[in-house]
Amino acid sequence: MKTEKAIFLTPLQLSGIKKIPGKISKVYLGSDSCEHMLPSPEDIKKVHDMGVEPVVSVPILTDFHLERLCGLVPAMLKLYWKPEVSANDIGTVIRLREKFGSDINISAGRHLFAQWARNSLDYTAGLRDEFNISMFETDDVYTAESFLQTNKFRIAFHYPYKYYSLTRICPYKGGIYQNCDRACADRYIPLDDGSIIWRGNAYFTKSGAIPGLPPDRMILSYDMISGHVSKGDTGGIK
Amino acid sequence: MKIKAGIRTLEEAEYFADGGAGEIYFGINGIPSHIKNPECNVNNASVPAIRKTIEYAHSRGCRMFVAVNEINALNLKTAIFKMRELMDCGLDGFIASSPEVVRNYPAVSPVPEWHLSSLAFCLNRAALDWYKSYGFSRFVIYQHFFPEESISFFANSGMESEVFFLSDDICVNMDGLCKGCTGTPGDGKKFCHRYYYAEGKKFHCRWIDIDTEIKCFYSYAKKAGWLKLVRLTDFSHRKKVFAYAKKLVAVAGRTDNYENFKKETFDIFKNMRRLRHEN
Repeated sequence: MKTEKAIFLTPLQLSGIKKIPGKISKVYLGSDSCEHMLPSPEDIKKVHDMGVEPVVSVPILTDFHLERLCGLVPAMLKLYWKPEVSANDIGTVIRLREKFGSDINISAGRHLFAQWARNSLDYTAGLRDEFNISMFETDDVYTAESFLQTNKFRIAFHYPYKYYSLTRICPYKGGIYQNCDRACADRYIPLDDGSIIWRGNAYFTKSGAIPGLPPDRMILSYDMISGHVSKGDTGGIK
Repeated sequence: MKIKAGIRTLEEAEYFADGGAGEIYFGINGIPSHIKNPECNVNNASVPAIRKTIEYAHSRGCRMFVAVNEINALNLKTAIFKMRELMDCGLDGFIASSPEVVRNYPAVSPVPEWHLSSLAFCLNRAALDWYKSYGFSRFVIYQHFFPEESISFFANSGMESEVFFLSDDICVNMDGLCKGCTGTPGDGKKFCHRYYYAEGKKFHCRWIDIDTEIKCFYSYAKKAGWLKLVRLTDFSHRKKVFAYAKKLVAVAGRTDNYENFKKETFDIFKNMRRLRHEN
């Protein structure tokens, strides 16, 4: 089985990119930790125009941001057949299915799948069938391998950053905001002890481990193509 | 608004029930319910002791619940067995995060009341309605979910509501999604508690300011049925938290003006901040 390759980009990262490497067939656009990184219709079109299929990635959503997502899907439907959304909470899955039926593909993002994977295989399979979930994302080698072994789940593996923690309280501004000026500039900032990469409202460790069984899709981090992690100034943040 | 207090020993139940808590909750060995198991559980309690405690709480008009929100596929069967045993002791219900637990609980009497755990990460109405369809009758407002975001939860959801006492020990990073408590690279301290350095500058995970904290409390006190006090800290700390919480609930109950509420309670919130740092 051939592993499909995808790259994960936020809208801010996308703005600095002119070309997607040839072996990449999908671009995860958005963020699975921050609702303020929802792409615009123009972002989606830009990726589409580069000849790559966008997958919109969203974190656990509040009503406000869920409706923003629902407002974005028609723009995706205009551009290409069966657009994919990577959702991280059950409410998002339900609302998308209610509103767009089988016109879109829905994958379970790493947070949602981590929640489901704690339950029995039958339970997760039941949810997959009920909501027609096309792909399950994880950054955990054990979870990936145990589900790949069943041959019943399509698995996407995030590499090389393994999710560590996240907050809805902006580390840059100290509150929760419905609108955001993206003060974080979405840089990858390694902590000085090298243990953790800080990115916006989330923290990651660098994994390096890949499942022994090939996943259906590898979701590579932005710096896998950009070749660097930010070492610039922190924009005055404290 | 009434108070739901977390306990770590059965003896503590008497204190909170006598003090006017409307509900008490706890965790027990063998049923995963918290990342800090077993230290925040009621450990090694016998079934007769649990029964006696529940009877005492009920005699004081206080109901009792057990947290079962970290159950996974591997321990589901044994957990359900223990849960039935607890219900036979007179327990009122459970705090759960997975519909699979509710679905697997047998349809026998006594029927438990199901409260949705914050670990369900329920932040929108569609998710709430889904959980309700499985039999959850009460939701909890997630700690990182502010009043203006949760309006739909209080609009004819047909469910009871509870909210965490944010001034107490609440995680800065999203509890249950955060791996910081289970193993932190670096100095061994919990990630959220330490200062860290990036690009030569010093940072710290940030919490909300005191004004927001007071606004949240007031707003939720006017809408939510229950104030939930966590069980993570030692008993002496939680006694102080309970006393402050009771005062705040009382003031919110008789005040219909936010500025008056803030004026009257500002020192309590300041004291709560101090208490949190002491712990």
